[in-house]
Amino acid sequence: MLHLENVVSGYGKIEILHGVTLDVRTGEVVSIIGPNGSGKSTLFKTVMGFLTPAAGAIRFDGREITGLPPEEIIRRQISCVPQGRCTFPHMTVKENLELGGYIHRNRQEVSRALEEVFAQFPILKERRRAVAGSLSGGEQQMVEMARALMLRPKALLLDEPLLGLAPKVRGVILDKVLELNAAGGTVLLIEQNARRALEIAHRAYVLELGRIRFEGPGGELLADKKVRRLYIGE
Amino acid sequence: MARGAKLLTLGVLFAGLVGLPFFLTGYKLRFVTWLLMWVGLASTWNLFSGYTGYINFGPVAFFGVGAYVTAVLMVKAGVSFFPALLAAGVLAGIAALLLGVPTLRIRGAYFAIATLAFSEATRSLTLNLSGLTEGGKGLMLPIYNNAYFFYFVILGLTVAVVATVAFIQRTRFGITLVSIREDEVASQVLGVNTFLNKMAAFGLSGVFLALYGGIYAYWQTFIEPGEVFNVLYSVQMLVMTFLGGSGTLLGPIVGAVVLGAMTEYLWATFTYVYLIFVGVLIVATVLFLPDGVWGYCVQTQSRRRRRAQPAPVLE
Ligand SMILES: Nc1ncnc2c1ncn2[C@@H]1O[C@H](COP(=O)(O)OP(=O)(O)OP(=O)(O)O)[C@@H](O)[C@H]1O
Ligand SMILES: [Mg+2]
Repeated sequence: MLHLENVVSGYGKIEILHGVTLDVRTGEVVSIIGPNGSGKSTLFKTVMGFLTPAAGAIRFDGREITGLPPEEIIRRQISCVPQGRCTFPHMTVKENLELGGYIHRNRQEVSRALEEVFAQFPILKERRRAVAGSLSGGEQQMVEMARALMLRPKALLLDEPLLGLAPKVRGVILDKVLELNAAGGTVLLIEQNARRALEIAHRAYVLELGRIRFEGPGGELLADKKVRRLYIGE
Repeated sequence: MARGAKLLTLGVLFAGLVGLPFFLTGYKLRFVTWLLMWVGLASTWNLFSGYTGYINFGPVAFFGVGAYVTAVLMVKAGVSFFPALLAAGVLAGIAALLLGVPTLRIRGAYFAIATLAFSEATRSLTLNLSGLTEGGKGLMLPIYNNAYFFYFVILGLTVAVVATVAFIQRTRFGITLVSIREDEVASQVLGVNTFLNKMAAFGLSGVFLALYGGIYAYWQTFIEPGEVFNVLYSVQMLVMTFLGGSGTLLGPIVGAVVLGAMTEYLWATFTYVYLIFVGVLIVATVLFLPDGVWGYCVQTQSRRRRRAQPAPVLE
């Protein structure tokens, strides 16, 4: 569904990704793990169109999306949740979600999507009138995920959704990812937290210094001695 | 307020504004006309900067361009007032879009500095294009001595500006502008083409500013670069908006009326030191009413004004 081929990307003259090839198939959860500064967020920004690759190709749903601006990529139904808090803090939960349906042209579609999202995240329905900035970190992360789902995406990209969350809340977020996947959603999960990310992934890639170092089924990487030693710290 | 009561208030206000000039003469009529112009200028500034959060420090550039295009067309080409004004609006709109292409990609203080530099550059350019503008000598326009005409033209434009802001507030476009102010990256992540939306608002504000400039030139009958490109005019638009409450429909109106009336009174009473009082007032507003006078009044009702509590720390 999402296919990257030899993607080279970075910031101006600084090259960060030196030719990354990876695949995300329909219905999969694919994780990308790697240490700080390995280029995970750079990969995320490149797929979403915030950065233009210097070389290589990105295809989604059989079509080339290389070099398109973010709004065009999002129009092709890829949703994303960037790293770090990204809600509109002074707006209510409901307003945040409605803005998530921005590209839907008509109101009915937005309210239908809102109903669906509230069904998936009942806690947000309860707190719909609360100002997003007053929610806990975990709840805000859920607002961001729910907001991304307002687009009814074919694929969802998450950049370190567990960052700064307590272990219990991390479990809740990952359960949501699994739930989405069970309902047929395709997910690309970028995570620092290697063990958790590998546990829930069908397949995974290890990114290091802008190159794919290992790849394989999540369970296999989790069992791999080298991967365990290098990225899980055993 | 119920819809009926709102419409009634609006109707009474409008009737009052239409009837008002017939009860005023000379100086007072000029003052009210001047105040209406500032209500419109502050609202126009708010239309772009108040909603998007991009602080335009050089709005006077478009005001001045509007004044000069109108004046030059009337004086040098013999065009009559309204066609000249229309041309000024169109030209300033194009100028705003051209300026927007490079500057609307930069944020924060850099945008403010770039717009300030632009307004200074347009002033120098006007000074130096003396073949067209007569440079520092200034331009004399045909005299049209009809205070009612200027009152009603400015009233009409100001009503149009306020109505435009009121309309935009309710549309997707308005929500988009607010989302850019709140978190531009977040709105891009939702598929908003933030650049295009900023361009549209910036271009529109350029058109309105130029229309005021053109009317002002004809009204004053004499303009010079130092006046119609005066940086203090930019500052005044900004101060009026923040005084009343930026990002709200009524804030700039309240701010313009309060500051306009206050400076007028203080100036008449303490001609030499009135600016000190104005300065104290501005500092006091920033310290005690950060959301502005109007913002403070509606704080409890308006959702946009609600202050977010810090997020509880989980770890
Ligand atoms: N805007 C930028 N301009 C220039 N260099 C950048 C920029 N953002 C990131 N980098 C550099 O790119 C490299 C990769 O950063 P990236 O954000 O992709 O890492 P990451 O794998 O997401 O790390 P983390 O786990 O800390 O989020 C780093 O060396 C970083 O310094
Ligand atoms: Mg990152």
